[in-house]
Amino acid sequence: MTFFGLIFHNVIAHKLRALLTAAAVAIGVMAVLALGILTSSLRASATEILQVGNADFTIVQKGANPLDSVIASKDLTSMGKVEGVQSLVGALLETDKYDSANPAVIEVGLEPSAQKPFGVIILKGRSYAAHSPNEVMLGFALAESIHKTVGDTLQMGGKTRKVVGLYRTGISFGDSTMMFPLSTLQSENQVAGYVTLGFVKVDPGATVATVKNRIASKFVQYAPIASLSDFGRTSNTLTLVDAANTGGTILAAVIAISGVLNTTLLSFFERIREFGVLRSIGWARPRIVVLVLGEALMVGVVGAVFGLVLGWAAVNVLQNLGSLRGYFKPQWEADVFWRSLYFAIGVAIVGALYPALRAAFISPLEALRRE
Amino acid sequence: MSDDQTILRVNGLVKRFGPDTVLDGVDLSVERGEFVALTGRSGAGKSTLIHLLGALDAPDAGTIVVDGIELGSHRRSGLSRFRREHVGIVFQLHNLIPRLTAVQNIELAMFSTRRSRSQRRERAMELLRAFDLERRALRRPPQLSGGERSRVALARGLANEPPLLLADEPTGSLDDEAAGVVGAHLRALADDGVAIVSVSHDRRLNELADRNLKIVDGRIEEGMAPLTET
Repeated sequence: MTFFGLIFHNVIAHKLRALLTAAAVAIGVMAVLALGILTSSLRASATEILQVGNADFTIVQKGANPLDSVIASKDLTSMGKVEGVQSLVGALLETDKYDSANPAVIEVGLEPSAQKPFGVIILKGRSYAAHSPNEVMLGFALAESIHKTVGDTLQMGGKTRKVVGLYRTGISFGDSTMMFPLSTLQSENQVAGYVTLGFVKVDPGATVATVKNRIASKFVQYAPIASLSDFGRTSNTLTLVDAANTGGTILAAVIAISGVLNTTLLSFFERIREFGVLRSIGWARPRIVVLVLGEALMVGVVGAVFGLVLGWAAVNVLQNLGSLRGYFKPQWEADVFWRSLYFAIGVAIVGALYPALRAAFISPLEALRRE
Repeated sequence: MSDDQTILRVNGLVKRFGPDTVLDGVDLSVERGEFVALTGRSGAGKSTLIHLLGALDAPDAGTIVVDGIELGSHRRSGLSRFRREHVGIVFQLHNLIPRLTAVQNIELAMFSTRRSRSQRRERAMELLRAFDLERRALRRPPQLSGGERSRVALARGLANEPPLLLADEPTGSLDDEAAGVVGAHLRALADDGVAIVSVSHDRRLNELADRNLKIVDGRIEEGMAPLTET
């Protein structure tokens, strides 16, 4: 029998306790995985919004979140005249309820002429007319979701609209939107003369940083954003998302550690005489610590596997929540899996450390006297 | 290691539990291959002495030298090594791990030694053969008789070839036949050079010993005839 074999044997011999411990770890891993995927996906969504139409950078209102930004169209026109700017597209972004399964569909208001710079490729049908009050285009992912195609009509906000085209944008966020003539969406939302974001493409000979600086110095109420770090300086959204992720992870860790501590401590009391025997036949304290931690680690890894499966299920549930549809596209990055595994290992070790030390430091004679 | 024949030397050993002095200046000397039986009435301090000799407890005064090693001079971490290499302990209740097989229980004592996995298994099987338990190697303690459990415990105590074996009531829970088998094994071990200090109320076991000592009023009286519990 090897030492590892003994650890395995001990875990198998106490199946129920091992399963309870693994469950505690699994719940923690599930939370960490789901939060991690959610966070990275929201980050990715933010990046996608900023890079729509292969823009070199995006203009937002300083201090505002992308969907809450307000930019005067006349300012955008002025920015388009800044040296080095090749094209500048303004888009109005609003959200509206389609049905209970899609309670927050993103509506994009865009001039037909701006569709190409915005990265819109029409897959079926045609573009809406520039000022049509009742024509709409659907991103193909949204069209599939709500079972609509070219020629259908849809009811939204008390209005009947005709679907005239289906499109894709090359980014998952954009493919779940619906698109209207800019003037129509501005007038329906009573924001005539305003857009939400501006997407800038610079001249081939110009550098992005130089053009960004020119705009930033001339239009101080707006922020040019070319990267996530720029975004972080302008808006605290990602900071809040990260903070929620960290807070959730800490909470999950506390719950999982409590679970591991509880069951491992119970195990210590059940096996106290066994630890006395091991000490009396010459086992040193560090070996007993390694034995108990090894058992916890093995159970932790099993919990991690269960947790990953539960996490995958939880992400799928989140993905299909109406309120997150279109915003949440899971990004299955290896980093999140490693993080979950480290979490499981850390939780198992921290939770089992106190019982392990108690097992190692109990007097062998005192332990042998226990019934 | 001690050079002379004396494997165990105890001088002026005192152990108190609260106001009660259980051992009050015990002196004892045991040679290699000697089988010493300790008797005395219940509560006389026999088991306490075994615990002190096995470094499971610490005396309040006095010295214990086993195999040339003075126990008091050891740091706590050194006591684990001492228990592993210099003494084997057999308990009345055997103290085997119930979910492990007989052979695994014996192997358990050989972790932290230089023996490889196969050497541990080989040594355990060798001991099981010596105690006529080879066919019980894969049985767990609850599947063994009292006498078999006692012999497995004895085998575990001898796994690391200690020069001194301490046995606390090794036949205490056995019927006459099983006790006779265990007693014969102890005698054979002593004849092979293992020093044995046994605490027992079993007259037949004590009759097999080279010396019978009685603990009276916390001290050892030598030269007693084999005695049973009074």
